[in-house]
Amino acid sequence: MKRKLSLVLAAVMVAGSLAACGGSSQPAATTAAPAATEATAAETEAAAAETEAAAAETEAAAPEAGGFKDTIKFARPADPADLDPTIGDDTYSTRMYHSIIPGLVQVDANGEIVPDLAESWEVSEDGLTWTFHLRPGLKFADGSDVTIEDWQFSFDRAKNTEESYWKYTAEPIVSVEGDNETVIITIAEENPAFLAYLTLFNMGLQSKAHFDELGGTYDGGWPLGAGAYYVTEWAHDQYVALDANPYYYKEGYPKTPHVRFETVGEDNSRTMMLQGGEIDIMSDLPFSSAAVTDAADGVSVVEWPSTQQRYLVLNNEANPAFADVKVRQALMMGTDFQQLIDMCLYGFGQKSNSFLSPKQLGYNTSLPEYTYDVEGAKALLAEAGYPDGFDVTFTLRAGNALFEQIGTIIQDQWSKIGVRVNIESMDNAALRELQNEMKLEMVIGTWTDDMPDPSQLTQYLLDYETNHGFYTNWKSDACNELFAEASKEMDDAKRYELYNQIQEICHDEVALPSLFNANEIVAQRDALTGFVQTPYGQYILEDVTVAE
Amino acid sequence: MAKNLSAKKIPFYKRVNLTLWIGVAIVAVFVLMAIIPSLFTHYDPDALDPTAMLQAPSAAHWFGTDNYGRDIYARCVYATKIDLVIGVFAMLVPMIMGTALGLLSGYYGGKLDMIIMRIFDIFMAFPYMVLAIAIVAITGAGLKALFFSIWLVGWKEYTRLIRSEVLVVKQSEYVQAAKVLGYSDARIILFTILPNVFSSSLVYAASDIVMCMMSSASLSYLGLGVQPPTSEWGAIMSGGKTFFAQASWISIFPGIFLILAGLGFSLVGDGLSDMIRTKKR
Amino acid sequence: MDVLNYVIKRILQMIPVFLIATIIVFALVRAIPGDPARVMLGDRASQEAVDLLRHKMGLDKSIPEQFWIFFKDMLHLDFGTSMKYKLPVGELLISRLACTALLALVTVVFTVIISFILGYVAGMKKGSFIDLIIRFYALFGLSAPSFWIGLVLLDFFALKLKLFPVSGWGETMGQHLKAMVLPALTSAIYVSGILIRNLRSNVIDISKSDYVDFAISKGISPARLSIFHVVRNALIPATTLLSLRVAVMLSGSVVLETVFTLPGLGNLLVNSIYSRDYPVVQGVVMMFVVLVMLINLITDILYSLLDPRVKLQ
Repeated sequence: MKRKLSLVLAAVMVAGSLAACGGSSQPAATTAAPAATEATAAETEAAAAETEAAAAETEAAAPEAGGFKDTIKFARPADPADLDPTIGDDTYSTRMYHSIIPGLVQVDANGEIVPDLAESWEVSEDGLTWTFHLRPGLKFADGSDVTIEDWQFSFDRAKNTEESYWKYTAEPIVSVEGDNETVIITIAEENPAFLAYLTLFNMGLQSKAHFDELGGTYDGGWPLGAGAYYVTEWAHDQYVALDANPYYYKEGYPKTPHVRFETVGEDNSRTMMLQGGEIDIMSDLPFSSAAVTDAADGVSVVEWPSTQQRYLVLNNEANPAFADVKVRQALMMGTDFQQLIDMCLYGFGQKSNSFLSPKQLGYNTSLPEYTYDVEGAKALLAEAGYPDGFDVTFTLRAGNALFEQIGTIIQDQWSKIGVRVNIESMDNAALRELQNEMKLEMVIGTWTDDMPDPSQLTQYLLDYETNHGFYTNWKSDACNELFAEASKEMDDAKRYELYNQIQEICHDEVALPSLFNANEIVAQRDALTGFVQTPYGQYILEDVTVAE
Repeated sequence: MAKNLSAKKIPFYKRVNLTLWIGVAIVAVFVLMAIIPSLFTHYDPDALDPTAMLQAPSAAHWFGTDNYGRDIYARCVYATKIDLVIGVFAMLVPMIMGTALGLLSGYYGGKLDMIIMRIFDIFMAFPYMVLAIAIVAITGAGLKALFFSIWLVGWKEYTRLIRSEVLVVKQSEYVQAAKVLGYSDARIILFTILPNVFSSSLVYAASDIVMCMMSSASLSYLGLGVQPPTSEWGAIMSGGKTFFAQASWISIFPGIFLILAGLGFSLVGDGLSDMIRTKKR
Repeated sequence: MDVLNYVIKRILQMIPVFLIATIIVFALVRAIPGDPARVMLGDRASQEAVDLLRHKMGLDKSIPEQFWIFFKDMLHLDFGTSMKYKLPVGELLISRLACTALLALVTVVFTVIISFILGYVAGMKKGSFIDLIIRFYALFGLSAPSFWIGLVLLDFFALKLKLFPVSGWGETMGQHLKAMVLPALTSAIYVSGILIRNLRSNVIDISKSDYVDFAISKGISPARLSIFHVVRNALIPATTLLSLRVAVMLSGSVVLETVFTLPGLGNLLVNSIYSRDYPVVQGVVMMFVVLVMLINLITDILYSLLDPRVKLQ
């Protein structure tokens, strides 16, 4: 019943070593998962780690072995907003995509890019032609064969859905050719992030016939894919029901025939349902309840690494005080980040010195910290022309307990350096409208990476035209130049060096200060095993079993 | 003075009773707490204390602490001022307005009644949430939004209550008699009808004070009520929901303050209505 | 005949009210800052994408133009499609209303039982210890936050005793009713707090009135008099308050629906406002206008039935 973090990571790292031969991330301890045929040494290691890690269960492999429930009940606070992979990019949608519409490649529990529907691939010398060798006999969940038209349709949708924020990832694609065994993608120019793009949910394989049947839109419906599961029913604001895909490429998987994502808005009710056994696993447990919940019988709290960050967005257009870099630096010195992490995260997170998450590739580990120094902050403010401090309106998203905490703590901390913070809560739609018009002085920004590449966030931060520097009105020509170079640099070492420079500039200029990088916690019944959440937020459900 | 034809002849000032005194005493304590909170606690209600988060009630912290380590008893004491203001002023305007509309609507009937009642229907058609969020969008979250939304919504009960009683009372003998005697409408309404129906308003008003404070809790529940770090009983209670499992005291104790304040006001309301009540019908 | 005319007159009055309310809500939701297209496209959408979607959804037309389109559809009984759920508004409303209406019904039953009994006893035994306890209970019901009562009930009856489900409202009517018990009880505790005080006050009034003296002098036995006449006359204010509360209950309660995970109108309404889902917010208000007017009509007719002195006007 202790936090299983280290044990889970251990089992998972061993699994990672098996990943090269294709398959998901938890080792089948006793029987062979037919697709994985690797070295027995690795397998015995896996078995040993598994028995160590697991508390009571042993029949992890056999799907129909007696004594297992036939449905995984997963409770979350909200429904997915939209299951159209080009549009629905909220948390509750993105976590589900991997189970229903996987693509050529995927991310495993370690954040490594590994095969999914494609077994292997090569890139041409000039980096423009990517040839993917598909697993033989791929079928959609309704039994229809996967053809090259479906791949073309999916990439075309990803590229040409006009309202989609994600279309920039499919932009480089010039053509998709091939046959039922091979997909050959040609891109316009060399791109170091292209493979990472292919792990994204908007690149998932969707059945064209199904889309046409729905009338050429996913409105009121959902996509059909070749994943471990497929959606059978969606009762809005109540539940989403999934069934196992009988044609899934991995024999014997998924191990549990049904999944039900229950929507339960109230944190306390969700926890009660878990304790009472009405559900098997839940997400979004408040950090403050983690200790109490973990201590309860039959329930454990598991921590998963995440790239999730919260930022202070200082808009210098709305509040001129923020235009002076000394003021921004003073505010950093006047913020006790450790206190924030202790009081808000209860230990489930860490400080980040960059706008990039410490968990993301290319995070600059040698950036200096801003030390908490009240006197120094006041002195710096005086130097900048604010000896008596100044006033700030901090606009928070209404109804979000974490944001309210951050607001209250910052208000208290900054009062000591003479900065008077006035908190105003606003409902999210109004907030985003005003933020977009650059009328809000200070808000909390959020970001979670969806792929293992630093370009995703960097590109967003530096896209001044679209979002005015993440709504701060900050920009840097130097950073833009460095980024343009990095986007073409195929050598990893050189590329990360460029990103390091970008991060240094952003750090010194306090472009987008990070409050913290938070992990995610999931509470599950001890009877449930095999659940994995990747650092980029995909759920891997095919290994999950729930003992009776 | 009112010529109430069958009232018992006890002079007004002698009708003051024990219920009223106890109620006034309780309210007085709260008023004192509102004016001089430091008399009741030495803690600063807004002081964060990371070393004392979520502590159960103890000798040091009578009501325990919240997730910021703030003393809850102190927060409740300092919240008294805002809550009294909310309770009384948010209630007064609808009470006066609603009673007046109910009197007019019930007494005159006809077109006036129809128009007032149909306007009433339109207001009722808008669920509180829609109005509250729309108002917040205009005035911003906080006290102003709270007052406006309650004022817009709270007059309905008084209007209906008073109107329905007026419909009965206006058929009674002494109202008929007063008409025959040629008293003006205003005199009849204010001196004959109002005293007989007002006790309903009073009784409801006492509940309404508590309900207004609870409206603050509903707005805070959505994050649109009083803003941090302001302490207010309803806001403290709704904030305690997240910690219900491990720190249930956060939500309980402000409730006790609310109940006691509500008790004080309701005794005052009952006492006053005993004084006004006369034999009738 | 009288009553029938009255009903027809009232129904005719409903039409202008309905139109006015519809126009108000149509304009009101569009006046609040916040853009449904931006909400739909997520946090990272560009202004370009938002504008594209606005155009697709017809939101860039002028408000009177949008209203005209909406009005025409309404005449065909097409109330639009929810922008958030992509489902027809009518369907959505009816399914949520079913849950909320059932909850309101069960709550009314509990409330009537609790408040009439307690209100009557407190009134008749004014000044006694029982009176004090009942008045204290009424205050408690009013001041205790419903999420707190709800969670406590859930913790005890659902989690520990497993008598009721912790969440959801089930599939069959039997399951629905079972799932309604705890939330209705939570709601009833609050509403009875309001009713008890007024009922008690009315019972006290009546028991002192001429009317009662007169009845006694006519030889009607105190027992028979007591319950029947006293209660019947205290019913009018109680009916007023209860009918107003029923209307409020029918708009759903966010707190109750969240704590007990019920698919009701309250959550639908709040979620729709947050997403600026205009068709749904409009649909709810329009439905509400009709419901509220019906409730008020029924209440007014009830007044005249309960007390012959009241004339329909």
